[in-house]
Amino acid sequence: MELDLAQRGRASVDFVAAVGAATAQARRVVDAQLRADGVDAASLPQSLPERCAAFDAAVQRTSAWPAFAAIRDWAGVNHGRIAMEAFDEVRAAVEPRLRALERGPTTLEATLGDDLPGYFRGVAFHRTGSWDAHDFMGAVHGEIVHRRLVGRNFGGDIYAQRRDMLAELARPSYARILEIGVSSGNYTVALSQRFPDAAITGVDLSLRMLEHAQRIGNELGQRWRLYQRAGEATGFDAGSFDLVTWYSLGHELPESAMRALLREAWRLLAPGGEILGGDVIPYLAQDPLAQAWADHEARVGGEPYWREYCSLDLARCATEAGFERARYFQATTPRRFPFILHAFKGAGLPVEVRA
Amino acid sequence: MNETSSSTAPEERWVPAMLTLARELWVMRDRQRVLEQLLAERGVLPAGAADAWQPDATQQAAIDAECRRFVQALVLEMGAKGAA
Repeated sequence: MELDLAQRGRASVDFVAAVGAATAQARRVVDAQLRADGVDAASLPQSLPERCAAFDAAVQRTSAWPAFAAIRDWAGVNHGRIAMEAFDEVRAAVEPRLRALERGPTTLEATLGDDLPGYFRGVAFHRTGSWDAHDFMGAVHGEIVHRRLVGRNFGGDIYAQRRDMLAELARPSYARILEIGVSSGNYTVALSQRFPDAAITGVDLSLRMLEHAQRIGNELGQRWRLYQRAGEATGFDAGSFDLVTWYSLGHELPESAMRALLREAWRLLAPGGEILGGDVIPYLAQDPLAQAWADHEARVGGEPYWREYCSLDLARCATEAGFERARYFQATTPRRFPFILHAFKGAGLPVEVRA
Repeated sequence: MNETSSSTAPEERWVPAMLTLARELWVMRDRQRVLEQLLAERGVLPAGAADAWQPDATQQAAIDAECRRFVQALVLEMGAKGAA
């Protein structure tokens, strides 16, 4: 979806993106100073809490840390606010088009109201407020934060990773697909492109994000069925899907919800069905210094469940939920992202036969 | 006695500096608005032309590069200097 910004919003988003690039550069200076101080993966304590405490103390001894922390905080606090302001600047021009796209073949059923899980309700994710912090939060997040701001670091195709992940699936087609954590619908687009004949159902807790996914679906003429429901308690019939999938969802969930989601996915799948989920790099695949960096940035960056999620071995969790032949592995694409969980319910096809 | 001697708290020195800078920024914003209004009144540009303008990919790349240099210079002066 094209959403043109006015000059103030456009230039402000450009500025935040430049601050993001400067933050990455400042972080490399902190890393160099850590190395010079003898702080590396081998020198940090083994236990995660002790490692994080040692890391926190070490970075604060570097001369570059105050500048890094200040600009990272500024971007963390302001990127969402600036994106909302940029939207509001053009709101009068774009709102009629967005409202019109809420009508079409993609349906949305919103029944939860305020009956939202405690881990979601009132949590200020990403320091931008909740997923429902703006009445057009789906457009703000999907079209401005995601596509314009984050996407700038992905060579103009931030959604390539979503499409690439689908190559890991075992079958050439799936009749009934459930996506958990639809957000603004960009992974749903990838699913529709890869499996144009599939019936696609999607759930998410954020009504604002679902509303934008509905607009995306209608703009593309898709017949997605979207529901405001929790991924760990969808209410759909057992055995009613052939593929249950998600992208960039798990780190937004506490461990208990992630484990419940896997049990629910197993219940929802027909025999031989598959799960495929992609998300951030877990700690089991990172060296101790990278773990400490990731953990620190998550703690200050509005990611309350990051440590819980990254500490899990999802292959083991999936096996405990009843899945078979679970694989948990890093994408082999050039960016080596995301980290992928793939598993079968019962008699799945051998991985070798995948298309 | 000088009220802004080095014994004052950092925020007491930064706040006047930021307000002085903000005043100059506001003066420039006001002047830009005046210029846009005059351009529209004289038929040089339609009203809202600056807001409606969208960069193409080449222009956006140039904007990004210049903005990065601008911010990077600022951040270096904040103390993030050194070999990366």
